[in-house]
Amino acid sequence: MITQKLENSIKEKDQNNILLKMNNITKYYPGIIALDDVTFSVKKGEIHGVIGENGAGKSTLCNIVTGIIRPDKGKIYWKNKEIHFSQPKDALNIGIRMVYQERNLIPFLTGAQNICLGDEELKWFINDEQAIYDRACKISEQLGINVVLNERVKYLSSSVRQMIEIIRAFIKQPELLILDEPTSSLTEGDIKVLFEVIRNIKKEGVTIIFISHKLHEVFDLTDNITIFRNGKSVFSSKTSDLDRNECIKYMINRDLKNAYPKVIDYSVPEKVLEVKNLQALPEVKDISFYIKKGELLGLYGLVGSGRTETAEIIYGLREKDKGEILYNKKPFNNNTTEKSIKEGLLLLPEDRKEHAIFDIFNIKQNISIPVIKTKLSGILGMINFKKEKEYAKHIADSPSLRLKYRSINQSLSTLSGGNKQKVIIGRWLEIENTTLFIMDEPTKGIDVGTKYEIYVLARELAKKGVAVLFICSELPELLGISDRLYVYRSGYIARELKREEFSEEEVLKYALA
Amino acid sequence: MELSKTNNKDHYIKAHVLEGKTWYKDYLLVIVIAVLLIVFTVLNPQFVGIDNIFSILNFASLTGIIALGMTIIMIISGIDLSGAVIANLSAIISVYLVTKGINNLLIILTISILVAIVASLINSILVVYIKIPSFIVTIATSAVFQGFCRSIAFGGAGVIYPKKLPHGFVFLGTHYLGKLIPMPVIIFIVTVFIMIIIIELSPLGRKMYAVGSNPEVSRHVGIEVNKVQIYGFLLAGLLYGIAGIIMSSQYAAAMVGMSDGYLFPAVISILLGMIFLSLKFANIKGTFISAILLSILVNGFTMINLPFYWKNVVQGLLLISVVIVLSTGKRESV
Repeated sequence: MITQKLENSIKEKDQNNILLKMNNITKYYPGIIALDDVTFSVKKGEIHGVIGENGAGKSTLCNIVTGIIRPDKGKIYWKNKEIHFSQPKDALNIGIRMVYQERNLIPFLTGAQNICLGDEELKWFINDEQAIYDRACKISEQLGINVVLNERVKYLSSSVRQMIEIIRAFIKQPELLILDEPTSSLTEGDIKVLFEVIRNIKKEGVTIIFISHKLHEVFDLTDNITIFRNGKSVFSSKTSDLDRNECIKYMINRDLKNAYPKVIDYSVPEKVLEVKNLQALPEVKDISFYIKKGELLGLYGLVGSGRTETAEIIYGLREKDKGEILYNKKPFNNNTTEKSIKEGLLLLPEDRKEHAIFDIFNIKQNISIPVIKTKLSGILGMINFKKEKEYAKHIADSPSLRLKYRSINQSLSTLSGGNKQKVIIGRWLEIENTTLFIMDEPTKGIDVGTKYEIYVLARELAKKGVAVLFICSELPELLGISDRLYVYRSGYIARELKREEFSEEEVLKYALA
Repeated sequence: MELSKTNNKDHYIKAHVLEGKTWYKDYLLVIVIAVLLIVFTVLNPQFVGIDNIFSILNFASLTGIIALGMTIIMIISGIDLSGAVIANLSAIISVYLVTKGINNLLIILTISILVAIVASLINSILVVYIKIPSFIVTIATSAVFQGFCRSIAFGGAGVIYPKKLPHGFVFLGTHYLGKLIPMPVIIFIVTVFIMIIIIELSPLGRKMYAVGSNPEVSRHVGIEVNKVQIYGFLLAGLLYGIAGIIMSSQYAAAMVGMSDGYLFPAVISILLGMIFLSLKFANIKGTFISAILLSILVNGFTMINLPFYWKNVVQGLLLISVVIVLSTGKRESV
């Protein structure tokens, strides 16, 4: 009897301890079941990690918790009471706040103005800027975040913006804070600071849901983990009871024997590209490097160290101030992207949304656009639609890409991040005489499984004799796949490392110093 | 390589069933036209007479050709509010040349169309190179072009009315082929076909959509953004020029402001056309069908003796309903 009572009281205590509980949540989208009978609960005061591949349903879950979308089935309990959100404001009112993956700040307002947006102090019917600034400062001090708040957001780095987003969530003390991939555009140093901030927030009694692709971060930070796969929550446990490999197994439903494919160096001495003393202020100060035929060359550096800018100059999107670019041993100056593509120099841009995807085009059209005139037009110069379809299908189904899609005429907005990236890569796969393929953060925001496929694809390209320039901020990844490595530091090349010299400490020493 | 095997298949198949049918949304414009035809015919059986049908098409052709030009600009950059004024300019130039004693029809046509192309080229330079939004550029240049029209036609207090027109001048605007099909209708249909080929079937058209959708992405995939945009403006200018010629030929005269009435219906045609096939972007077929729909409205209202101003009310309501249709539906994404 006594034991039963005790058990009951423990149960009750557990019940009271649960802040948010979602029972049997189901959400359909045209063509996809985003959430399939998901049950999910978060205890008061914990940091709860949510992991899963892209398209596993994490974002949909958040959108339901924050009241942006309504579930088709299922019940949500907040402190053991059933609740219904008819609009996002309802969720805000009970203390649920979300910091989004895409930054939602207004660029021409200052940090403080962004933080207090919609809740400004007034003085004679006008915004009291001093009071707004003071309040923002007070919140940031409370959280232990030290950032500039009186500068327009558009002049601030992405890590500072991320911090401002977090401060904004505290304009009204939240009870539940959701962080969606908060580290995706941050540097190692910034991530450390962010984690310190998150731990401080936890001490204040705020419950946190932490969504991330990066397993080591989730293990580092969270108390409990829930793993999503294909719209289902497949596993939930204490973080301390899980290990990395087990986690991956649940995420992708298979064993991950090796994180990276075998490194086989296919490079030959012939230099495909040589950059000498390249300068384009303010980002690129003095860059010299070369890449050989068949080589998989890594470029490591912190966000803002000039890697993307270098790639854009080579590809013809940006002008240089000084320096020399030799491509196939010939000077390659004042070029346009059109010329680059013609000469077999391709770029996979970092920012998929802004630089790679045509929203109004479907999969087929997004793949065919670079060759639409040269390869796919026929009578009267019109597009040969049959040929275009075959071309796109051929690429999408090719063994190196294996795109998951319903129809080749499907819109890209219904694809997961990894599959979107595959479409963009596919766009470049059948370009003739490809000699140099620059991949700028090709695995950013992509699930583990697709990441591996991209590594394999990069190696396959190298095997065919293409020089692959792999720009990446994930050091383990770069060390795992590249033949040689350059370390960028604020516009300079700080170090060149051969494969046998690879070590995390060595790279970070030069990248951060 | 083992890794890429996932058992997602059933997940996609199950979900596929959920997709709803949207044919009635895709063909909403055609349905509206059918309903209007039936209603007007019931109210006045003469409405479906062959003569009246061609008169509807005739009326649609001027709005239609101007709207087609504006559709191109809509695809590549934004709204063009100067289309009607450029047509007016071209009309005035053509008649002005006649009053100056030029009798060669070919020269008159070439010069007046060239003027329209140059006018559109001026727009394009401001939009493409100086990067001013086309909305602002075309408001400004319409004022300038209107000023030109006035300065040319000022001697006739805004109207140029040549006493003697060269042989064949009125042919384009008023001749009936086989005593049945008005020339403007033929020109309109031919224009539509050519535009479908260029805009919807050719690589250039695909690039125009690409540029309009996202110029940055277009640069990344090697499209010469400026060149494509300028081609678009030139093509639009050509269409405005053709519309201007038809106009002066129909009136056998030209006056300042003769094309003002076409701007609003043309804009509505483009916006209405965007719901065709649920495309949600400007397209040639949609603009064509919508221009005819508007023409049916105007004609039908006259046929059933409704006051003409009801036409404006209905046009306005149509526009609002289009915006509603456009803003509902598939917006969520995973």
